[in-house]
Amino acid sequence: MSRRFDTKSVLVIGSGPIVIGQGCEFDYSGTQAVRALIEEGVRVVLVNSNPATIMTDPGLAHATYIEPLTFETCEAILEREHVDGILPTLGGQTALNLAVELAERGTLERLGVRLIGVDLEAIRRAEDRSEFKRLVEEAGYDTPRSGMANSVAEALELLKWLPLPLIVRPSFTLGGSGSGFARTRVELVAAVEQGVRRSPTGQVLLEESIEGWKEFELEVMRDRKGNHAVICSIENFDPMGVHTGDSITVAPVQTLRDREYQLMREAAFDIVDRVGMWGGANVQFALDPATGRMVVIEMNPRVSRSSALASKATGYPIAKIAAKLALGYTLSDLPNDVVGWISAAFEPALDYVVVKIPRWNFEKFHGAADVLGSQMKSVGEVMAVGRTFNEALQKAMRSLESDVCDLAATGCDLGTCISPQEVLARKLSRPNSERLTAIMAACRAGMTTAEIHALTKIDPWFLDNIRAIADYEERLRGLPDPCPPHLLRESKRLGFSDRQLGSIWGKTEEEIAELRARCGIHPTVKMVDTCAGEFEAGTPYYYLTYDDECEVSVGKASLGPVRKVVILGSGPNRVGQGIEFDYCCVHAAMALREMGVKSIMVNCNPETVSTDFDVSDRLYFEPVCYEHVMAIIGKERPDGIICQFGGQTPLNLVHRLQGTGVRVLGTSVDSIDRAEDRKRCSELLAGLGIEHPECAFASSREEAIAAAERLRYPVLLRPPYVLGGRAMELVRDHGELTAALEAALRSSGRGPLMLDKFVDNALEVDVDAVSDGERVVIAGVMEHIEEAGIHSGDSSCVTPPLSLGEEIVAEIEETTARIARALGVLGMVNVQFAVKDERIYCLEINPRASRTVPFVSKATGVAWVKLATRAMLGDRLPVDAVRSGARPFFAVKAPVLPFDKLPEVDSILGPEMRSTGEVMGIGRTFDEAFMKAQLAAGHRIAPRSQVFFSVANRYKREVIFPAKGLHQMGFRLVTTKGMGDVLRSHGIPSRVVPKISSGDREVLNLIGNGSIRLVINMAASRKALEDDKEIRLASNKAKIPCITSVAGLNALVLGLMSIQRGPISVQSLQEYIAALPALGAELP
Amino acid sequence: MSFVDRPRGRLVLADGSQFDGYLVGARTLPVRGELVFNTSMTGYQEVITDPSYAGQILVMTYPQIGNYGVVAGDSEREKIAARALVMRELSPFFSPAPGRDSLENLMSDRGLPGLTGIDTRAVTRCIRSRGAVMAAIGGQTHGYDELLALARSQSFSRGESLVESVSGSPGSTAVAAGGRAAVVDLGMKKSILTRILDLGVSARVFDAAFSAKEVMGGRFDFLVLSNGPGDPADIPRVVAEVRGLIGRIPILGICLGHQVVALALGGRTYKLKFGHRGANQPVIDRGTGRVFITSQNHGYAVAEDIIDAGVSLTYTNANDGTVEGFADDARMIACVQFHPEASPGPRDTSFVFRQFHGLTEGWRDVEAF
Ligand SMILES: Nc1ncnc2c1ncn2[C@@H]1O[C@H](COP(=O)(O)OP(=O)(O)O)[C@@H](O)[C@H]1O
Ligand SMILES: Nc1ncnc2c1ncn2[C@@H]1O[C@H](COP(=O)(O)OP(=O)(O)O)[C@@H](O)[C@H]1O
Ligand SMILES: [Mg+2]
Ligand SMILES: [Mg+2]
Repeated sequence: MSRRFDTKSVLVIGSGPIVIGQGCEFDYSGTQAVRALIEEGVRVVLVNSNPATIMTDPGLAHATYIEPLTFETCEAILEREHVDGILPTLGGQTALNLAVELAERGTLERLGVRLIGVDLEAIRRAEDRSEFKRLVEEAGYDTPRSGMANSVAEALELLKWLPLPLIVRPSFTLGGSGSGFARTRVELVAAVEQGVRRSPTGQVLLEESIEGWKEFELEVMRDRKGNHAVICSIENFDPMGVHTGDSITVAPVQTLRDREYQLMREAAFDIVDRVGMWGGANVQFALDPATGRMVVIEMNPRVSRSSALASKATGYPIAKIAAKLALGYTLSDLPNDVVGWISAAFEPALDYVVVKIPRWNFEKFHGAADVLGSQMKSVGEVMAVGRTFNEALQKAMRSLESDVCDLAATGCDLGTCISPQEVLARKLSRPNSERLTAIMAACRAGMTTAEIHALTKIDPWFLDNIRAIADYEERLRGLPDPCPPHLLRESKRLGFSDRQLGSIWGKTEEEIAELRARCGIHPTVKMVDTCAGEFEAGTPYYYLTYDDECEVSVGKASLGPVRKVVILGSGPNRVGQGIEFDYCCVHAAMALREMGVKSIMVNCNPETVSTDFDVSDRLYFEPVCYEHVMAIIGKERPDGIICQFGGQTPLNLVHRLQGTGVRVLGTSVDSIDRAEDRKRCSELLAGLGIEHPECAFASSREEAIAAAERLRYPVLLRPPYVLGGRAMELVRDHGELTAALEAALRSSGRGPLMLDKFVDNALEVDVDAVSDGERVVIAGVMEHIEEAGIHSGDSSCVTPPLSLGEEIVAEIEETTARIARALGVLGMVNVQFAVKDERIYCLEINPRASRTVPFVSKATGVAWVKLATRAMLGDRLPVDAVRSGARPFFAVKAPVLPFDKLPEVDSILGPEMRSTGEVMGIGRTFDEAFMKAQLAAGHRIAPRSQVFFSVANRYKREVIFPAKGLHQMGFRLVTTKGMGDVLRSHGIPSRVVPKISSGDREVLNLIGNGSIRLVINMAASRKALEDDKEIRLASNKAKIPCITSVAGLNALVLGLMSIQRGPISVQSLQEYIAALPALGAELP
Repeated sequence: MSFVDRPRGRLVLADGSQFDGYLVGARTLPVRGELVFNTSMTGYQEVITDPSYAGQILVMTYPQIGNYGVVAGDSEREKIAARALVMRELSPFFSPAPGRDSLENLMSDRGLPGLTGIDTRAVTRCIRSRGAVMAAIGGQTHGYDELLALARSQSFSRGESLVESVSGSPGSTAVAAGGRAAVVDLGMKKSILTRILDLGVSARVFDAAFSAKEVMGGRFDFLVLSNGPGDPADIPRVVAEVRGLIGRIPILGICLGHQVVALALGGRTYKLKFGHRGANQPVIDRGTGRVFITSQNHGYAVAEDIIDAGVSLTYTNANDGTVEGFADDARMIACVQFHPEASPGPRDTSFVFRQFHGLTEGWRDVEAF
């Protein structure tokens, strides 16, 4: 590799939709990289299919392609844009794999484009597990003993010298996909069979299992001169055997002696040198605490999930520096952004402890086993900063916003919650999402550290620290009232929240806050400065702790216009609340900056752009919960607080915040309540004469049954105040209702259950709008592809609407505007409608920015959040534009579902949201846009392959036409007898296979062995759906798309036809937007 | 297991500021010393046993200290020279392993008093903005005024006695084939000797009372001047002896040793505002442009005009540009301000020993010729 200052233009490849194993950390890294390259005068072309990202903002890169991340589209982009280089190291494994494909298939050579930062050989050296092992061993380091196998027979042969237990890993897959442990011969055979099928090379690696060893990770920067620095060292709380992405991790390392750490550091440098790359990389190690043997696990020659964490944990902008190193700079050429005058060739020194805890969503995936292993299952994560491990751990725990909010005390008493002993022992020994609380319970139950260690293999230092929390809790319980100040202070230093203390002493959170205030115990603000205070730093990056010195002086609220505003972020990513809300918060900060208003961001999600300290004027890396938000308000004295952009998390706080005197900007708290409280909402709609599904409330089984009968089935059952349709269920008759009630009543707790009359067979429409209280601008109307009843987040949608009549669209827009005016919306609002028989029903009003805002912003070329932010601060909207204008292209949003990662979960869609991410396809026709979205979502349906139809009678007529289309395109249809007959009478041939219920498993085999590439499954009733479950599970396992709605099928057939007509054409977002009519142009 | 039940203690700075915490370790109070901070995140045992901290109260900026206990082999010297250790939290637990003991036991056994529960970041910021400062630590029986008076009773510790207090007893190591080294212990970290022996040589260790004559009489292949505490200007006798050796034997100077050579060459040293102490100091190799992360512990630095003495600068600090090393091939001098022996800290520069050894090979033959 040579100096590459001659690089004038670069293609940056993003990571696509958010999936388990690849989250929004790559929006953070991509955004930083794009900015860094632009700073260097490089022309940046970007490709990413994920519209919810900041990196795809049209104002960021010079040319932004929201196109599927496939070889074909990248090639087409390279043909249009004459770039010199491709930067493949900032878009996760997806980007790296794409770059490899472009190189291997000769595109790069043909077009004279090179990879920067890392070359093909280096990628191979790191990614090919056997080649990597050889490299590590040549360097004189140890790796787990292993062998390769191409078949079960070969695997069994290996057992002769490689004893069980083993870990089986397919070559060339990402995120630990397809890997697993084999403890017995039977498990081994199954794992090898599966692995051989999953690996693109049909090869698996069998490796000595070192479960229970300590696991570590080092984040390394390396430049072209071979200079390096470790930016952050990370220790896994969960030992080997749990994927790092699913492990609680701590930075910096806590339990390594300097000698051990330095050995690891040197090994990391040596390995990175031998692989050879310029930029950021990580190296993972395991250490046997019994013998001190250290082995190298893997190396990623790119910026990773842990790099995002490392970046936030230290304040060192890893992605930015990595991008510059890829251009050929050396570390010493670049300044450290935090301490301007010192160099980037620097290893951050921390004077705090950082804890990351993953966020899982097992409760949404019935059937998913809550067992953690070498494949990642979490959907997000939180990070917390504290002065001790205990404090950081407890802060992280409450950042999760899970049901168990605090490690100690609150809500359910874990000591009784997890018992009896055997359950506890199992929870400890089999890693799972609740292990931390199980450890706490074990401490309370009197288990010794040695006992817990024996079951968990977690380092006793961590366990002892958790025990210290449990012991202190016990001590607090026995204290006289009021608690002596020095002991109260100590509890805060151990990370106890006011809420926890309240539940220990039978007091409210507010009472504890008052008690603290009386004792003069206030949180202090400390800075994250990369250098442990050695140098004066200007970073506006802070956290709260309980110490002597506070590093920010108490602010003064301005009496005049709004000068300083707090923006509350959305916390950890989870199903239903993801990166979209981070996009909104970042845009709000940008809008405030443009208006000359100071912004203060509060968030705890290390994967995000919002937690980059240069996005806002001040960043507080803190849990988005009442106590912490109030503390920040107390320090900063802002003129207002914005709760509209972080999803439901901040919205759930508005009532309490309002009561404390801080000014909640935007829509009034009362209006928020009118929209969210279904009773008040229904009154509002009735008052406006807007039709909406009738609803009823029930606190008991009997009430629910009576209500359902009054409303008449089908009805929709929902717990109060939810996001992402948590625990919502569609019930079609009495039997289904009684079956669903039990779980629903358990999950309610916070209020009565609600029952809605279900609008059957209706079209669903989402509308986003902005209002200044009087004027209303409709941002976008999105027509769903799937019918109402499938959660809006899991349904594909298209804008502008495709099949709704002009009058209906007008009515929807007018109705939205009336609702917005009636509520006095200041900022954004989202309204969901069902359309049936030319009538519209309002399903829901969300008095906040919705999940679709970034998608709509890209589809319309308008930065709606900026407009909304201005409106919230009192600016008038420039126009009153209730009718959205015509647009010369279609934009389709498609969900990305995690069933390939959770193959034991039924993929049938319903009112409970389960997608983890989304993609966007843009095209001049709907068909083209839809197909692009499908490709972007990873659905590749090989031409002329076999398609299986399992369709209930009531849908048979409707699928004839699409079936014919598939047949004409050369697909071969496979059906059961009834469907086969119907098709034959329409002149469509099909291969008839027996029903599974007959006991014949031929279909499952065809799906399993990959002969069938697409499954169409539509069932009439819940019961029939159950029967088909095996088909869906088989398709999950085989990673084959399974279409469950007529509308979805029709759209897919149209899409497939469009690619048959010719290759996909690509166009940049900037080009699309330039073609938009004037309305968009008028707005900021 | 919390320290809230321990007796309270207090740190008072000469400028009057005070910080409250709890007492741990030895109870030899009150103590006074120059207040310095170290930013290493691992290696507290090596740090507190480094004799260069003689006379100083050491503040660790990393907030949890003692997590993995202490092990016999990790001490740089048996005797602890630092006056006291100040921490945000002394970890009440340590990750167990055979042969490990708690840090607090080590402190109590070796007479090192400590304070825990201190806002060490606030103390660090104090030092950073006001520069090095004297301070005192006392327990409940020591009033603020008493401690303030103590902190103010003396300016910075004088070097001569400091070096003497930590300079070890002379001795020799087993004969080795690779050659013979003379090592002057000005308060040497054990690891320096280890690294020298790793070269395959034998070594004779001299204490600070050594003379040039002794060294020349021993027909050594090279001389190493170790690290040590304080201001090099306070040990003029050592400087004078070294002056007598320049050009007559290859000399490797490390840290205080490097400063001594600079003075012997007629250069100057000066006190840094608050020194470099930590494991993350980047230095640039002026020859190759490469950057190394180094371990450092010094309060004084060599002034850049050392080049007037006819040496060339080999290393400079990438952050503040201070002199990190100089050399003169003709006079067989190689000196570094940083610690190539690491312990604790990065071993990026362990090549310094090998490189120096390589240069010294065969010099006698050349001389004879
Ligand atoms: N030999 C092994 N024995 C036990 N656990 C292992 C072994 N190798 C890897 N693991 C576990 O599997 C996880 C994933 O493996 P890794 O090689 O890091 O793959 P990925 O590419 O998914 O990050 C690791 O974080 C570790 O916990
Ligand atoms: N009365 C109804 N009739 C038909 N479908 C409904 C009805 N109410 C809700 N749904 C469906 O359930 C999904 C989730 O309901 P919604 O009220 O939007 O909850 P969330 O707050 O989770 O977005 C909607 O997107 C829609 O598809
Ligand atoms: Mg890994
Ligand atoms: Mg909804």
